[in-house]
Amino acid sequence: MAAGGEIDIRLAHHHGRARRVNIDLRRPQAARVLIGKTPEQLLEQLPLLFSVCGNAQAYAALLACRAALGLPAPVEADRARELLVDMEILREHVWRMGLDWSGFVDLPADKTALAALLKFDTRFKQLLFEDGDAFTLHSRLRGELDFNRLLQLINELTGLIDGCLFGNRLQQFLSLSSEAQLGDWISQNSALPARLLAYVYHRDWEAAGNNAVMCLPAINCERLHAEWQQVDLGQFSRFPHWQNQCWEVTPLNRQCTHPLLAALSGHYGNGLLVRLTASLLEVAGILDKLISKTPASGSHFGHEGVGLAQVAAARGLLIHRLALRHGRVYDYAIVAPTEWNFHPGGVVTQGLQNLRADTVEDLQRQAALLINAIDPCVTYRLTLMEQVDEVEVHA
Amino acid sequence: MCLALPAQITKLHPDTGMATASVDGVKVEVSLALVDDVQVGDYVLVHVGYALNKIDEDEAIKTLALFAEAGLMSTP
Repeated sequence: MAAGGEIDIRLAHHHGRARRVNIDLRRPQAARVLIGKTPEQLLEQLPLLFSVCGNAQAYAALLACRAALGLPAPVEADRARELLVDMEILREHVWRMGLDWSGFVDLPADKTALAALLKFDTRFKQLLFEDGDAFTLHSRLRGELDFNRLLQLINELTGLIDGCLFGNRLQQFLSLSSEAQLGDWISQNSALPARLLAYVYHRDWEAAGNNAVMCLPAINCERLHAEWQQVDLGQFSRFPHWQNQCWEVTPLNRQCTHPLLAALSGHYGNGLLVRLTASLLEVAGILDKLISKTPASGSHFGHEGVGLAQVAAARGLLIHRLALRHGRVYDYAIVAPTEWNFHPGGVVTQGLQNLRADTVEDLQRQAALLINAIDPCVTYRLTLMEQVDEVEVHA
Repeated sequence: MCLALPAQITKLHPDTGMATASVDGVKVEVSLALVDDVQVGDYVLVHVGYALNKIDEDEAIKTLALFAEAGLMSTP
């Protein structure tokens, strides 16, 4: 098994119409290696292990540790950390859109802009925290924060993403609230997202992958803690569920109340167009609120040496739960979006199962788009199998 | 969530912007399009075929040791 695990997806179809999907999800429970460490060691080592979405992972771990230790929350430092998590959501969305979406519509990727984007994380950390060290128990905000420099950096980041992703039409995108307005926005510009959305409309794939798996509702940490006291979290984190159901955990959860998305989902459910638009709305919405950010993306709860934290990560809600005994980690579980979404009965399975294409090539393309729209980070192997109709033979 | 192993650059291919790197003893081809100034011997974090950033040798060794401790590498 590769270090990051393996996801095997087998899609049985009949002339391009999906019939059955099996997902074999084998991912390592890497967090187990943190058992036996002190909270300080945990917070030093966890970012080495989870360097992709590292800020969200490190922030969830820090919140859980503090909750377990009964330490107070430093409001200003947490506000800065949430800015770093938002920054990371932007980075993860934009660099994958820049590479993957351009591939789907045969455009060259703007790799110069994407390379510049990847450098912002270090720049923000250095500006906000002493030694750029943001997610340990002893991290300290810079004593004299240079707000002008911070504003300049935010403006620089906004300009970069507006230019490379929105074709300098971010403000127009932010004002969209109906499908007709989205149609105008698509037809009036040649930016990468407009090209991809136009392609989806052109192929009549707006509702591709629409399915009945719903977005996980907000659950507060105290309730999760209570529910999980009776649960084998090792098993649960492999195949998470809530109230005996599978749920979706993606950016769609966070954007579904946006007027544009509400309008689109009225027509296309949670199909391809809705998912792609949700990711774009998330990018646009974060950029719009970076300066006026108020802490909201993380929550936590602690009780008798157990700490639980929820953080909004790029691919969906991330949950960490740890138990401390005698100053060391006794149990650690991470419930990540991948396990919710690639659950055998989850949104990827159900979405793929509902794909209908005219050719096998189109089915393959739809499947690739749908999986990418749900989680572009996972490495998976997709096998399409033509299913021959079974013929009943009567004696 | 995804994991990214440190990879050590073993050969540069300047014409294509690619490099050969060693990840857990396995040779892989990596795009250097998103990072600057990478040399043979450097460690980079690789995700979906792209080097995302350079990391210093100490951090790479610590990271590899942690992956080995977690049983996520074939070569401890």
